[in-house]
Amino acid sequence: MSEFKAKLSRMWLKYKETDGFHTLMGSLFAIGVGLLIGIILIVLVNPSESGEGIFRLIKGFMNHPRGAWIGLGQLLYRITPLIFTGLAVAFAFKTGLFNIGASGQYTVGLFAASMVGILGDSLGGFQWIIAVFAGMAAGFIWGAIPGIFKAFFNVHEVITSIMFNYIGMYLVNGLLNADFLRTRVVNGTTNRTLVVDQAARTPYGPFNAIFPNSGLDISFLIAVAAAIILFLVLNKTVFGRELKSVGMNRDAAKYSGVNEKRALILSMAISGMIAGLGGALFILAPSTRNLGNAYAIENIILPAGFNGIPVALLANSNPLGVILSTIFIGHISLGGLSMQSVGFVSEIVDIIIGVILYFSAFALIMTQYLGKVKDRIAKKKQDSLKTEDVVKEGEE
Amino acid sequence: MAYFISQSLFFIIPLLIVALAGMFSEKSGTVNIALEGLMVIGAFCGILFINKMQGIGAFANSPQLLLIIAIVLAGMGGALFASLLGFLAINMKADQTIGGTALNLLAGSLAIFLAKQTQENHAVQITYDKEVFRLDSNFLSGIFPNLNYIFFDMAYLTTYIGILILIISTIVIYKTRFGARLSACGEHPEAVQSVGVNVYRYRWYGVLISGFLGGLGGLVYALPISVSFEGSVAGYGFLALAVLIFGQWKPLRILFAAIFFGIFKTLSVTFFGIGWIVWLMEQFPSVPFGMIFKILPYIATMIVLAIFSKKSRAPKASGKPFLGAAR
Amino acid sequence: MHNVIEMQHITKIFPGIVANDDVNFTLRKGEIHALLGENGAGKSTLMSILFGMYIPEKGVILKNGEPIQILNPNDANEQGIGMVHQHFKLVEVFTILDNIIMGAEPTKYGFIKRKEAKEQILELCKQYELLVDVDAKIQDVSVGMQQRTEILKMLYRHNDILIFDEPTAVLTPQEINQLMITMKNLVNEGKSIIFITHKLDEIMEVCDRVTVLRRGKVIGTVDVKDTTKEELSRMMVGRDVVFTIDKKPMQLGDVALEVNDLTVLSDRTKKHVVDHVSFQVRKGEIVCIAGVDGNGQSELGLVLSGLIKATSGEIFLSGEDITYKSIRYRNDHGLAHIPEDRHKHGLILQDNLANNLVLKKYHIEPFQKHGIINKAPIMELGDKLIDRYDIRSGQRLKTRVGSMSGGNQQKAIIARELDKDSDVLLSIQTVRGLDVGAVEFAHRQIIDARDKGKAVLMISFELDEVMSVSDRILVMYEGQIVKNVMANDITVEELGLYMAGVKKDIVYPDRLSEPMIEKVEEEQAHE
Repeated sequence: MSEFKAKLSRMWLKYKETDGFHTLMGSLFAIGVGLLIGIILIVLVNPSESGEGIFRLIKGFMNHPRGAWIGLGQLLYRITPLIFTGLAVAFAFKTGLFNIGASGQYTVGLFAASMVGILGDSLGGFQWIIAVFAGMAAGFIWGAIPGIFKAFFNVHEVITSIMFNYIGMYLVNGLLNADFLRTRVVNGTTNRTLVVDQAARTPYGPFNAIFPNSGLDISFLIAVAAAIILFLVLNKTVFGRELKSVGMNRDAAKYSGVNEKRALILSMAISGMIAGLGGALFILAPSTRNLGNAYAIENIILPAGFNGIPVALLANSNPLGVILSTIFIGHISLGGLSMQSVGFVSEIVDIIIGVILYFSAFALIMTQYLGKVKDRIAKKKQDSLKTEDVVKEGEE
Repeated sequence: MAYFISQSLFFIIPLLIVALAGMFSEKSGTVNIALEGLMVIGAFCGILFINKMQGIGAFANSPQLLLIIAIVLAGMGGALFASLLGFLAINMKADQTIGGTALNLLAGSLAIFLAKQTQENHAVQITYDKEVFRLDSNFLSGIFPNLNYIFFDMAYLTTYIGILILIISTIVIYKTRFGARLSACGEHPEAVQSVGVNVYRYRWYGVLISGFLGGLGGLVYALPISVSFEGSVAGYGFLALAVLIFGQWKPLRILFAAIFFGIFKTLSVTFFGIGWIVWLMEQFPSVPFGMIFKILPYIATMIVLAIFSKKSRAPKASGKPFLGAAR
Repeated sequence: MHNVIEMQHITKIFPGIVANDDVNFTLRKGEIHALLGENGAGKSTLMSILFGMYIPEKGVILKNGEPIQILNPNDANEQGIGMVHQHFKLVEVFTILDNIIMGAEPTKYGFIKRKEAKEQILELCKQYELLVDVDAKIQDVSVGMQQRTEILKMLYRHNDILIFDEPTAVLTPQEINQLMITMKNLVNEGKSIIFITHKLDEIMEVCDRVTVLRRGKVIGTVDVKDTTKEELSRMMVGRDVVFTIDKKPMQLGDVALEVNDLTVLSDRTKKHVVDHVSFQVRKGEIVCIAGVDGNGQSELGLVLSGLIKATSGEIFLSGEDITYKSIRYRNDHGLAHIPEDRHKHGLILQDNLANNLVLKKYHIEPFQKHGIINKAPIMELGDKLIDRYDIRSGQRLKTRVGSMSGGNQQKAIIARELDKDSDVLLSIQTVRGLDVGAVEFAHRQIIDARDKGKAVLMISFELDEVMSVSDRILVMYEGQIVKNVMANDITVEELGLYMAGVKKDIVYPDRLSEPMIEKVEEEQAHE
């Protein structure tokens, strides 16, 4: 047993050396500050209920009227789309690209899956899986577009993504409103799409036994699987290595033989595919809670994509970290909802998240600063070795 | 036609102002993707002020003065909020993208939060009466009835303020010492430092001006568009970012870009009033014209960007924190 | 002749290094005083202190005998001290006029009085015989004119004490002459000049005194007329420097690299930046392309490696046409490339040493299998290279490359490229920023590669390197090859003439290698 403990402590010490550890510390610092400010805000706004308010904030998913366990199920259900969009944004960031178009990719994925789900009766048992792939394909294409504009026309991906958020939204709404679709897939009174066919709905898997009526279906497992796959791709494969090198130093990547145009396009396309998958699974959810599986035809860009950005940034674009940051943000969001019934505005949670994100930028600086300190220590070691090499700073 | 122009001004002017806000920041070296958030904060400050003042009947006889004060307040709110970005980017030298995103998030939630706190029943909408601000004048109606309609009858003071800002910005950037030094800070801050000018100070000026104009632009956008403010500017801040890049960080080109985009946007809500388009629609009833016109501004922008971006050149040192005397 | 500037007991410490160690330096009025030392000796640091960019830990500065405080460039400027930096501090998109007046703009109510400034500047141009196009943008003018802009900046501010930091690194021999004349003019008008350099010829030609720094300490101050190049270099390096390198005679093989009528058109200037260039490089020889920076060599290097596209012409690698092949194809089929800019192209600074050493091999077995990275062979390769090439780093393979010194970074690149065992080695500015020990090492490696039968094409802006390392020299001027000669058959002076475009032997089209081959075959026949 003591040997095991020794091994653990060695692993811990090794981990403490890594950049990952410093990033984690940085994120925790940011979270701490954000929560602190949130608590201050709560106390200021409604001192009498502040105790209860804070309590509910911390309890998060445990606030659920039917108990903490069901609350957990609900939490996991609610955060699933966010995991997908967070992964999408994180993956693009690793290649140095800012995918602010996740909403558009999410929307077209949702639309494609919805269409297959409503109109694809003839697909029989395959309806669900084809709907999912339709969503992924739509997201892939929609994500590739900013990549193509950047690779071939040098147009910044932020602009293209924003533009195509709007184009996607108007396109989907326009198609849904067009005669040939509206009668078949839209509920005229609610102005939302119809619920998808039974055969197209995501299976609950074991979850409706484990978390009855929480809404959780296997899409959560798919999200976790996606996170693991993306993590492995980025860290263990040649392809992932090439994408990251483009993100770290585009010129050096080119020099080393990476086809940077291909890398840019594929990265954005895969990112879009993940977002599209998120949208697809959202609309295919079997749960009828929270209007989960109908798309409202309004001229509003779905916020799911934008909400993925803080999730990704807080996790420093690490796919596995995204799961953790999503759970955290989802947790306090549920707390915020619960706080409403004791006289607090749910936006307090959004403010907390904003503050956390703001401070996580500082945290990153602290990480880099710590990195530079490590570099200087490393250089000191070099100086003491017998060498004629000149230390970098005096060089130029 | 006159109606078309006056409507498009409602789109063009705020786009112009906010894009110029972005220009001041980026020209001095700080990337500012928080324009959206600045607009929200500015609109909130201004409209809340108007709402409260109109509620107690103050300024009833001088609505334009009320408007001017509201505009100044909106600008100051924006500048204050922007200083969060300034601190992060200039003093702490942290990642400007993350900072900007955080501020966007913060602005939206802060505005709604404060709206709910200051309104009865925690309502979100802040209502106001905008008709009082109409210039509603018949100044030129004798000579040029159409011009009068556009620029005096249907307009607000905000239109003129927008044009004034454009003129002042152009002069400042190209003709003044302040503008020259500001631009240099975003191109080659080491060069600026070597002649003894304080780069940090000028970068701060850039961010604060950006905040002021962004907040101001938010109010200018929100006021004529509807009768209440609900905490969002519908992505306008990002459109302004596109206009900024389209306009290659130069004031006059930004004007052109704003007009270009504004015209298409206006077309998308007024096309059904235009004669020959109605005729087209009757010829091809199954074509979804509504959707096409809505998408048109964005597609048109993408095409132009694709053609002209090969040589796109942002201020060279924009986005890179200035590291002081590090060599 | 009194001392206009005295720096006494100056000590400046950066983390881990004492850049200036109790340095004493004086400048007499009206003299040109050289500050000599290798890279890292502390010359730039000392002058940065004088110019107010650094504050020393210890020491005082006196002007005309009175102690003064210089805490920032403004103070320096008020004392009449100005500096022309090695890397120009100019805003590219501004005009020369705007650059000169920046920080000292004449204004009225905040508006810049450009007309007035222009008149003043044209006056200065006449007085000091400095030719500039005042309304042109910096990005559109030559390097020489950019430097004159920097000089005018100083003159506009009535600086009397002028510091030149390695000014000749980017100039043609003709422009260097012009600069020397300018400096003498300035001194005649009452200025005093400090001239930072490591080029001994220039010191001997134009300077009155020399102060030599080594590793932060002053080795001595001598009058130029009382010393020699050899003595100066000994003071600079601390030992006798070998100016020539031991080389075995060439053993020529087949043509490994052939370039045929190659042209590259510049988008910006619409000119042929590489203008119908043809040449060959054979196995077993070192060919060096000489010339002043800015005559197309960089672009030639980029097009050979594939980083930019050729406009017309052909490139053959061991007989195969690779003109339109991808960079990876060239990497995998016999081209090794030590790039000009090691930070931009050669390394991924944020990544560790292991990944950088395998940067061109990770996509082939055994470093990957079925697309999955195989860590063990990567570590093995990394260890092997670290030991063989003596790459120093804080944590060996885990080191973040950005934290390594420039010399070791370059060693890593050299190690990686040589390990590829490619037929052709393209090496550009191989020893930039390296100190003498590392330079010797790098040159040794290149000569070893050549002895093993590799074809080496070097591009260099350092005449010493060109003369001592290469077997054959090609001079490039304004995009064209203007000379093809064996290194032993030409003097530095003549080389300079070709580099400056004063002489031109060859204008396209040409068939270069044949005469040389005949000559070498002759020699080999004699042995």
